Amino acid sequence: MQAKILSLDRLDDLATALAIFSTQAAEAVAAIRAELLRQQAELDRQEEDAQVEVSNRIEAFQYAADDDERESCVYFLAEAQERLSRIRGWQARVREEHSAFLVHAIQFARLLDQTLPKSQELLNARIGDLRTYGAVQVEPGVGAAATESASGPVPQPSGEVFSPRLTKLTEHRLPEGFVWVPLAEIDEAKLAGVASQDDYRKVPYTTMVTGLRRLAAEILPRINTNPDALDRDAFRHLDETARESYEDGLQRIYEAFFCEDFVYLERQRGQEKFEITNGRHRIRVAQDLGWEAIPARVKDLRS
Amino acid sequence: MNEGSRRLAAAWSALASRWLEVRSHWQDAVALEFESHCWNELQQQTQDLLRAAERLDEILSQALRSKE
Repeated sequence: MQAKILSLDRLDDLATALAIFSTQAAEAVAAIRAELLRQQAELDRQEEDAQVEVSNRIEAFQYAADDDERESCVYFLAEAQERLSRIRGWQARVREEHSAFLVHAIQFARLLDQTLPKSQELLNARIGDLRTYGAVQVEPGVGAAATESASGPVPQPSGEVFSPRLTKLTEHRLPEGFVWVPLAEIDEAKLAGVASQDDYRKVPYTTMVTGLRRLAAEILPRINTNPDALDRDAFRHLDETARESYEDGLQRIYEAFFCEDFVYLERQRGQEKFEITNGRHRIRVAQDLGWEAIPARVKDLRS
Repeated sequence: MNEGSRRLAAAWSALASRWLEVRSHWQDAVALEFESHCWNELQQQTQDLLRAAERLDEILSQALRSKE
């Protein structure tokens, strides 16, 4: 099969769409379950009312003064019993369908938690790889080290891109003072407050997803060649050349990770995991994108 | 269909149209792996879940309507 990728931006869009779907789907399933539980509770309440009605009719029959009243009580008791029976019949059908729904909901949750992150990782690695080769071709001076390590063909003038291997994100070198911290070593306690896209007030979720993706695809490959030679001014210059505003450009992303607002983690003596001091939103997005690690400054007292 | 189902269907629809756009532009071994190991399963399970939610919602609605 001939490898052919005619639009890398579309792959980028798909990766972003997957990350967004993952969040939206989890929220939607929670909403479905809440609504179904509310409806079931309403049905249970009707069953309780019907049960009380039957009890009342039986009591009325016991205290009936004469045959006419007893006959009337029997009529209404039969009606109440029929209603109770009908509701219980519905409850049985609901229980059956609810069990079937739960099976699918559990499978779907597993898919979102396990399969989807792996797929995102696969896609992101592919995009990072292709962008790296793209950068090698467009800017040979910046990507000199990458050129030496690239064993396969580079992008073709026709626009078709051929890629022989995946590049591991954590293989990129970082500026002095920064390290790759595996996400598995970060305490997730502080991530509870960033469970939905509504929790991204300062910078919208989709903007942050794009930022991390550009960090991986456009910033880290450039830093990789000489981690301490590139600074915010270098990325400002790139933005100006590309006619990108500060808000949409690389300088802002570079500053977010490697200047004043860097991700900062602390691990106390005797602790297994790092606590998040700064950067919980970025860490959550890194999880959504299927990253294994994130660049951060750390204070590690464990070792 | 309840609000959650509508949201899931809308999220799926947005993702599916993105995939349709991408598929014709992306043809390599990773694309095949992505399609067989992720996309097909995601599609199947999303549709199964939506159908199950719709069935349950329909029965609950009928049950609540037929109280008298």
